[in-house]
Amino acid sequence: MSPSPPRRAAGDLVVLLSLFSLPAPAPERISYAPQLSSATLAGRLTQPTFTLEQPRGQFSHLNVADFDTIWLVLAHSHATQSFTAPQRVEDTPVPANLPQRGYYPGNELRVLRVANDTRCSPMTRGCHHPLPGPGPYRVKFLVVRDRGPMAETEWSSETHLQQAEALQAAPGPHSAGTVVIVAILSVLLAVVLTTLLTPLIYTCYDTCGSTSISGPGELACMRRYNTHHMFSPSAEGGS
Amino acid sequence: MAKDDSTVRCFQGLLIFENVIIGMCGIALTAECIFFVSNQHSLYPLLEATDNDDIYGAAWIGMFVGICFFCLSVLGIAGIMKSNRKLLLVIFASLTGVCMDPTDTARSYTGQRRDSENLIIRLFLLRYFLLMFIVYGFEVASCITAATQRDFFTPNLFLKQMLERYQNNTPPNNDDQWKNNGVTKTWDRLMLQDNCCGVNGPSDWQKYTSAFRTENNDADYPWPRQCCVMNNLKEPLNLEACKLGVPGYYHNQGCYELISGPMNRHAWGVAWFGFAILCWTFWVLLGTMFYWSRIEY
Repeated sequence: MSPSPPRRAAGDLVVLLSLFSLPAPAPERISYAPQLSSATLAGRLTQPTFTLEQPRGQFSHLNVADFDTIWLVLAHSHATQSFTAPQRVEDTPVPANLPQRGYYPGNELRVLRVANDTRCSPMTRGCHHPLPGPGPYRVKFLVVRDRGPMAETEWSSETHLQQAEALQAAPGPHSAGTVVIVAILSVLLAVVLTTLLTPLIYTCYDTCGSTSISGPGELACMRRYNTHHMFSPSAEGGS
Repeated sequence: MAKDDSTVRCFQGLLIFENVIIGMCGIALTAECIFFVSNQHSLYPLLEATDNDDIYGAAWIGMFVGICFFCLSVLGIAGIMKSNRKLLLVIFASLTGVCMDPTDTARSYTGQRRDSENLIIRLFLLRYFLLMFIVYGFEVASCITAATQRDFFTPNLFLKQMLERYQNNTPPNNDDQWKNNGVTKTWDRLMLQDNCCGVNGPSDWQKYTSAFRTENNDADYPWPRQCCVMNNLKEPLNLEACKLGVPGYYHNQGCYELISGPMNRHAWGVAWFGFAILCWTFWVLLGTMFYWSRIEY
């Protein structure tokens, strides 16, 4: 639309200008790229979420009023080229989120957990559902007034989320101590068994192999074994 | 006996001393195995769920083997000592089942009595040797089982079981349900009491797929609630900080040391102490058999 010709009264100019719906100006680019939180957090990168540093002080040079909202835009890496900042709030094709100004106690940690809201369904606008895939994802911040976006940051670098894998557990080899125990004990047991069996077999063979006793006179075939009846007659005879 | 009396006495003394050692070691082995089996650390459900609980079987065998070693060592000492011939003959006769002529005991010490006595002693020692061999075989089995089972105690064993069974509420059969409950209760108690999380750390729940992950979504439960630092009311101190992994609000050390430490020590004790006893008993048995072979009859 062409501007109206300038008039002397500034107020009239303003009124005239307001009669026309001017296109919103292109959002100002802020040279800041959102970054992953640098704090040592175990949950910095999980399977459906990741954690960003809060962009403190990046928007201070703009006159960000209280009713301005800062949106976080989350997109797959391949979709970032085709993204244009929506002119109106209703035109948001990509789910956006009002940043949660989380304050974590202990060390004044200011972080922003993305895709944290489990109560949010993927179809709802205005909240971040936990992310379905491992990514890669990129984010950027948008400062939005009622007329439309007025400032935006750079796209962040690619963020790959954690991917769980199935555990491959294979049994390990036996330790040296086990091999020593098994080997030595087997040998010892074999020796003890041999020591037990040898006299048993010898005794059994010796008993079975000896000739039968045919009479009291045939002492040569018997083992040297003194019995009672050999001595008692002599004792009786000697008394 | 054809040997010199002093040599024989020395040899007898040596055997008696060896049997005393076996008796004491048997008692010690029994005590150690009772200590192990009494499940001081209540970690049995974890091993049972892995089907690797043979270490407890080895400990049970070790307990009875220890008692048997003690009893047999007493018998062995009685067999070798010759202080009270009358009592000894009665004991030998009862143990060997040989019928003794009562008139024998009334006779004075003569050659033929010595021969029958020697025969009884030989039979007694043979029986002693046979019983000792049976107990020896059992203890060999116990030692080998304890040693091989100890090799199975790796982090991956417990990790695999934890990932498969912890909070798994959809098992295929009742036996698995019971094992899953045991594993879940044991892990919950471990993590709460000992202030640890997972086998290697909370990252176990992130790196690997698990039954816990299918039951609980990741954004709300990156790791179980039991990994959070608790206040006096057994509630997480700060749930959001715990979910995010802020140091101080969750336990980041793994539980593996607390599980494997006691298990390894006990298994080591059963295996290697049993091995030491067996090596010693081996020489005692050889000595006894040598003594037996030198008894002439």
